[in-house]
Amino acid sequence: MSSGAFATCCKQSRAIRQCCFYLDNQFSAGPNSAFGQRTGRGLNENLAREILELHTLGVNGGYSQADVTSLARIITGWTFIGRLGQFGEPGRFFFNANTHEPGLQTLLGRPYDQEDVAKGRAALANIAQHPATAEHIAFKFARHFLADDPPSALVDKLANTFRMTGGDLKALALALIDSPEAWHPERTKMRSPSEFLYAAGRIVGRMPDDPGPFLGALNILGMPLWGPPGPNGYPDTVAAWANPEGMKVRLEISVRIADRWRDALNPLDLLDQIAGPVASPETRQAIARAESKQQGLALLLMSPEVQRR
Amino acid sequence: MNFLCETPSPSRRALLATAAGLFAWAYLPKFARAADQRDPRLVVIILRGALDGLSAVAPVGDPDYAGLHGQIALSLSGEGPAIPLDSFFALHPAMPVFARLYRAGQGAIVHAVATSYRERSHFDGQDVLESGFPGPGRVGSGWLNRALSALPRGARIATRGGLGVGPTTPLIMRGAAPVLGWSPQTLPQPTEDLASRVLDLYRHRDPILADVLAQGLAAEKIAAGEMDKTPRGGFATAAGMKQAAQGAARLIAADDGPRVAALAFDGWDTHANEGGATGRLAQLLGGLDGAFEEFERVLGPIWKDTAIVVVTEFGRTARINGTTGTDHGTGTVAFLAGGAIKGGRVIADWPGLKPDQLHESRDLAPTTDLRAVVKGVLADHLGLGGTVLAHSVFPDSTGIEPMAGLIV
Repeated sequence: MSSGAFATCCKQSRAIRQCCFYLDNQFSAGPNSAFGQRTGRGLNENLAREILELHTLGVNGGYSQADVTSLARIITGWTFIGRLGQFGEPGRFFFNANTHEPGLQTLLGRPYDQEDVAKGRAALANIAQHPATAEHIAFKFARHFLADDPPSALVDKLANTFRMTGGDLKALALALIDSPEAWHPERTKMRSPSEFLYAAGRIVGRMPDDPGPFLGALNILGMPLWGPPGPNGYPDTVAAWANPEGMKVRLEISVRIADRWRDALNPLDLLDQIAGPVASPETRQAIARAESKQQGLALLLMSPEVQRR
Repeated sequence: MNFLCETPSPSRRALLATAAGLFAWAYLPKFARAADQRDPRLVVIILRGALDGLSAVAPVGDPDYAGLHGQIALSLSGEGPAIPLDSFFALHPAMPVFARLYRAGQGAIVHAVATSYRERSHFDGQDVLESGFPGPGRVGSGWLNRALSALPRGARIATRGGLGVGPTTPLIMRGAAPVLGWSPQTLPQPTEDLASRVLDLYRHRDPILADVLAQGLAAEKIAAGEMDKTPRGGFATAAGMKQAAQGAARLIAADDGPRVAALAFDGWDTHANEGGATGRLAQLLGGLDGAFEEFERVLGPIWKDTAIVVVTEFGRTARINGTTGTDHGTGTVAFLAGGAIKGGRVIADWPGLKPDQLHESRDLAPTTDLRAVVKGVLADHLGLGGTVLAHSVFPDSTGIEPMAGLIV
């Protein structure tokens, strides 16, 4: 989701079909749909709730239980093509009219009476432009790039940009770069496990030959690939990642990477390449005094210059 | 008034024992031991995702239960019969260890319990459960850590700090009191030389990272012991729960180890295909049961001074949904286990399951505030006073009295 309108992201079928699977929507059926009438199966509101709470309006975004249920009805039938591929390529988004709840639905005070999949598309487009969504996305945006507790003036400014541009994430990124707060030299954030591992890969200048150890490292660092602990995704705060267990494992991983490269790389040159003049004298000294290039590389990978961002 | 009327408790007795000489303050732990052999351990296990209390401890005596829970309802007959606890409640058949503890008077259940949170967001629900504040908000500390901070300075249990199990410290254990983090390890150890060089660099450049790394390295030394180091499948599997329990038990059993631990097990958000006597929830409950067994085994003689409290953010709908699962609800159960627990009973002010008895016509109505249960344990097991509990541990909870008689 690097650029483009937030509303478009919300509707992108790839994201939606994964959510359908992750949050049970393929099992949800409108009680008055053909399938619901025949089998007595009903709604599962899991995906609808998380769309409102986590991905758009936010938990204080002013929606009610009735809105959750209503959105659940609106997106009944949103699923993906099964393993057997009866309706096309397995895994692709699929609208199952048989399980779709027919009729008018009211969500956040607005009526939706479109046919089939158009109803959900219209609802998502409106939710994505909602003022509460602007606030929520602006806060998460600033928290991710700047600080756990971003300045509220900046969040307001980003929220305003979101509203003015109809949720253009590229405009949001440019507004952030234009803000003086973004140019603070202190590294207040912690690199997440995946950011740390990507950074380590770039420092040694090598793609992993085998994804296994990389994926294993993500697992033990508490950030399994595509497996966040809940639908709210991975944590995005310093406290979540700068913890005893996590740091101990980062040290172990740095040892493994350094063991792989041994004396083939000069860690002082690498420090210059990644940090240049902003590298601290202490880090430079610690690496220079290392008993081997291997140990120096492990120290570089563990240095605040690499662990922080 | 509250202070004078509080229940006598180990640390209060300890305080009286040392009143003769204020200079003895620094040596309080020794006196405490002489006055009272108890060296209590407290373990809190969080079940993330919201446990279906009506499936874990089924009200088989309630005429409306079977209808609401439909094809996943437990019963005393048929395949995989539930284990009767009294004339009304029955335990899920995947929990034979807890059933044994219950019969031995070392396991208790509080039913129709909930935090003060009445919405249905996991993340806010867990925030309330762990922060101990009446509502969700962005606070950085948890009630278990604040309970540790509130213990008398120098008390043995306070100086040992807390233990947070898992790759990240759960909110319940974050705060001012020192916390040791530990998680089952799967990679070889770096040399001590390298570790001390990194620590030295951090001490000069990044004190926060210096603290957390030092704690992480110290924890590993204690926990590793003779443990089976095979990688496991995380905290949503029976093997992962068992391994976490084993390491935590070793750490709190160590002479100079922490006395209070927090663990979090995942995977309880059973929206679809929850299962009855067997299936998805049964496997998770079996994992929790295995964790109880592991604590009992590893703690050995210390088990008699141990209290384990198992809590979850909220319950699930009383009626199963369209996908043979349950959606986010309200009232649920809390498990209490350990030699220090006055067990053998289900504590419940049963609200009934008729439509007008359900919370918002959909959830088991909560009749007991979870804070009362936890306060009762903290008061009688760790010796915290009512005032501290009502203000710093669970802010704005003056009206919630500690539940008496949970601890032997």
